[in-house]
Amino acid sequence: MLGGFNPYQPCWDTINDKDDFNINSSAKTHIINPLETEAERSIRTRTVTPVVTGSSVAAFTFKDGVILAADILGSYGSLAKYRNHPRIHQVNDKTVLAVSGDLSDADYIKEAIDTKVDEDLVQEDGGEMTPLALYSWCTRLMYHRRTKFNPLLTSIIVAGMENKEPFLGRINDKGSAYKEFLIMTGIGNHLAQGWIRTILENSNKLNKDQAEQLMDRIIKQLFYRDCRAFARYRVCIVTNDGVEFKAKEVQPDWSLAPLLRNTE
Amino acid sequence: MSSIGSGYDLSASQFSPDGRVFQVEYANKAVEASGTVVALRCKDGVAFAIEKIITSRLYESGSNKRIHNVDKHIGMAIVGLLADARQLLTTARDEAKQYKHDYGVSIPVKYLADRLAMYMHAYTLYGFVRPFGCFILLAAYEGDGPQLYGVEPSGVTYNYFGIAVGKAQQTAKTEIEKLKLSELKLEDAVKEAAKIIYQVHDEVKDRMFELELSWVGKLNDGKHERVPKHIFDDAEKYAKASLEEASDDDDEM
Repeated sequence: MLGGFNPYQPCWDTINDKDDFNINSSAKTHIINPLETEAERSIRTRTVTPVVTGSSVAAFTFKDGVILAADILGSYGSLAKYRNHPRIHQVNDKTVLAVSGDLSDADYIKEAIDTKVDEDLVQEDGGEMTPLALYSWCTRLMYHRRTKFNPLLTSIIVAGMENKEPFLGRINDKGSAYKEFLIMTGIGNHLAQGWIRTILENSNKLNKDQAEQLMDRIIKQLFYRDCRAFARYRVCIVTNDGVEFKAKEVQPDWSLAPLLRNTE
Repeated sequence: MSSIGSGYDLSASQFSPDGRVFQVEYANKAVEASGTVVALRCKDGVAFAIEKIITSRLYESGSNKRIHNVDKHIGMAIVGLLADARQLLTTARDEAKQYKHDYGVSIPVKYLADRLAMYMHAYTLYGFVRPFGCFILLAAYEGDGPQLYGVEPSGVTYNYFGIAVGKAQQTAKTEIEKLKLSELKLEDAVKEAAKIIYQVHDEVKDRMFELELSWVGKLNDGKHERVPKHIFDDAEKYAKASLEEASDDDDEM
């Protein structure tokens, strides 16, 4: 009657055992365990700091679409451990998802989304995940986890074409979400957003090639200044014609270094 | 052939004195009353053809489809009570989803058929539920080649080369046996399946019907889907043409 409450079994794993929104099985009803509230638990078993992290993601909209770029590094603290881990994920032919922050949480989110997309596909009614729908869903998920004091320690960028118009939005680990023409996560937010915003005030006049060139500039700047950056990166361009990925590598010019007063 | 249950057919938890479970046999009768399905496993794929009987001109075409996708690579064709089969479809989809979540790969159709069979069998054991009144056909094209499984209301599965289930199953079965399935290509199998449906369709009892065709095979990379429009039109034309040929032959005699 109490839906599986067993007083002889420890309850301190209830948060990590349960999955949110019945991602794993739709047939099971959502059972609420009586000892689930924060006040009744005294042991914290969740991770509070991210373990394997991705650095910044840069994204902005241009005249006909959205462009995103993220390097393919998974850092284990300051160790550049996983050097071929792309962080931009295609959801369908008009939506992409980019992640920064804890990468295992990012994988959880990606898997949940892929499952959702597969479920919709088999219904054969033409219903498809649009960027706005994905943005709303991610917001609810992140906020729900924040409310339980067990956040997913990632920043998610949702980008794509919504009703043939470019869409770009970001959700952070607190469930705070916003839509903008320029979004940067991680340290790129501090290093690059200011000067790009000035350039991009007229962003709707940029065409695809100009946008790509600007993005290459941004990534190069981040590579110079961000200690957790990596030279190899992926650029993703979403337009009404579909999703395109490009693999690139930063060609840095370190001859500047002696000229800068603070370096030896 | 039908013997009266006379008291031993009230629930699935009862055997009759001669060892039959009547409720399961009655479930099979529900299957036999439904529109025919012809499934052909040929050299490089599996084709489904369904005679979806339409009882009223007021229904929108394409409503109440009887072919569905379980996962991207597995197709399910339904014979029998549609509402019962919809629950099985949901169960199958959940199984496939859970398998993918646990093992990272799509569920092999053999395992799905087994699990679905176990589920259907569970409903034949108790007095407070009734067996599912539907026969489920599962088709996929996997690494080892095309696979076609059928699950009966009793919970038994078989692996088929070709099968017909429903109203005209006996006649359709004889037609299937005439084909050389191991040499047939998928594009031809689709046409042959459509032809059989047109042949066994009873014009007198069920005036209107809609043909549903789907395929899965090497040519679409193992992704189960309804046949493209031009293939569907070709298959229908072929089926109608062979019907006319047959009736011309009859006229000559």
